[in-house]
Amino acid sequence: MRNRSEASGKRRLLPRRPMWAPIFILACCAIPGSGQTPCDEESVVFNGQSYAVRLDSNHVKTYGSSWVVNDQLELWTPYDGAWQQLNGTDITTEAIGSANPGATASSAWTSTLSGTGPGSYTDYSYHWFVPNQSCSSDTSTDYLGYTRSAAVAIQQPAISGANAFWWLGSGVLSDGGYYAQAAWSADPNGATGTPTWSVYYYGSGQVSLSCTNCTSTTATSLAASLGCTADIKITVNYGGFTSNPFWVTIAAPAQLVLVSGYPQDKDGNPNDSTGWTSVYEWNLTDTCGYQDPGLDGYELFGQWTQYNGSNWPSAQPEPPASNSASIWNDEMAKGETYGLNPPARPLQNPLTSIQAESAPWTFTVGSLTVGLGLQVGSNTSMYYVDHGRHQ
Amino acid sequence: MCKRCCVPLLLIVGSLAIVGVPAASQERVQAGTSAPAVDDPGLYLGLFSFQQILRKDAAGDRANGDGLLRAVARDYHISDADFAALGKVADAVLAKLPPIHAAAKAYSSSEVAAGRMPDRAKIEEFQRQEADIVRGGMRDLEAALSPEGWRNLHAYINGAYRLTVVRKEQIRAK
Repeated sequence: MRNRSEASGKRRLLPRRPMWAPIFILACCAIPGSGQTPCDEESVVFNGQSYAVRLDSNHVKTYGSSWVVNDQLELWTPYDGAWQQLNGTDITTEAIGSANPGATASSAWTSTLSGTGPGSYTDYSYHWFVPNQSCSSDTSTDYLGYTRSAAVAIQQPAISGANAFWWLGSGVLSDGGYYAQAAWSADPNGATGTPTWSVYYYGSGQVSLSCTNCTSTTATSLAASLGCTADIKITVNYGGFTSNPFWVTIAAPAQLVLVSGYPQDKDGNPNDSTGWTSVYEWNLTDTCGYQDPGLDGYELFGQWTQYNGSNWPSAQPEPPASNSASIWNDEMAKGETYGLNPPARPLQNPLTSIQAESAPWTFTVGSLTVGLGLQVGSNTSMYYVDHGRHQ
Repeated sequence: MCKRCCVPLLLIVGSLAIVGVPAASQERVQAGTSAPAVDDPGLYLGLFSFQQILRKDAAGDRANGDGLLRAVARDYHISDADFAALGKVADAVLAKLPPIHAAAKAYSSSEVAAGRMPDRAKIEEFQRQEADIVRGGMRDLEAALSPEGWRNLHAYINGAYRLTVVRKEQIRAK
């Protein structure tokens, strides 16, 4: 009789017989006088299979299985040697499983994704079968070969949303198109369940979250970042499998930068053209060095101090104002005709150093409501008899 | 060839193997490996056995056990209820097989004891019984699952699952 492999032309070579193989021949159960055993009459089908499944957000399990069909006589013992692979590379040792004849041998590996990371997970198994040594005249192991499972592709969860927004001072959520809040969403990328949000600080920037066990959250700034650095790390965690870091910068209006050519002093005040006027222009910039047009702002004076018996009336702050530009200006002025002591004078050459009055001065942006917003300027507003200065 | 003469002959063959005789010299031959045919009973037998392995795994893993079964159900594209039905059918099929195996073993032992070769037709009958039980399980499975569940599972078994199974038919040279 021709064997099937010859008939099909697919003759395959088996691994070399182990050294101990002939020993077991002594135990064979041949039919006296026939030279054959009952197992020599059996045809069996060896099977091997690999399987991979994502258990939950943070675990992948892979299985290899070996089993025999039509094994009525010889009672083969199936073996499965399984590795778990990530991107085609072994990440485990070999796990070997066996089973009694008639049952399925299986071996498995479980990986925790927080430790092994994203990628393509597969089972890679080797299958072999050992015959019942007391039955066959041929006791050699049968090696079926390797199987590889379909891949389970694992991606890390991700966060989407604005990664830079504003700090405008306590209680200010927005002003002039500047927002102190950002909506963030978690993309599970195949993970399941509700994620947990975590915030880590690496500088001065701070945020609060509207919820920490939710798919979408609203972040509200609590403090500006250090300089213009992304010093806040946000992650979402699905059952222990954490997203890539989402780095956040909290920017803030930071300072008034004097525009070149200012202050400018001139004779005459706006009311009667006597005395003097000093004009300042500043450019409002933020912690990232950019100009910030569109914010509201207001000035405040502290306690006034009079000098040299001065009776100058204290200057009153301008009302809060909106500004479509980033340039803010201040006009300091005094007329000569108001019975001031010391009298105001037109510009002297050189300018005099005779002081009349002064007060602490602050400038705040982000709100029209006094008391809210972020202070960006602070100095002393000094009135000399012939000019004014922020100093 | 009698037992007495086969022993020294095979000893020689084994010794030759040790010193490097090509593996092709071995007498056990095999057909090439391949994926099983669509709806091959062996395919279902493997799947049924695997269900028991899965549930044993799940029972031993208090933390992730339920998650394992739900994950596999999702992978099969069937509901948890259909997955449970699959487990019941698998248990029923696998419970029917050991008596056939035992009967085959008892038959062959008695024949050998009587100095006779077991009848090939009788052995094939045992194999046929096993295949019939598995085929019955396939029918029971179709009946036990929801129509959508059966459609999806059937597609899975003959698609993704079948393509990860390697089989090889072993036929002894006579």
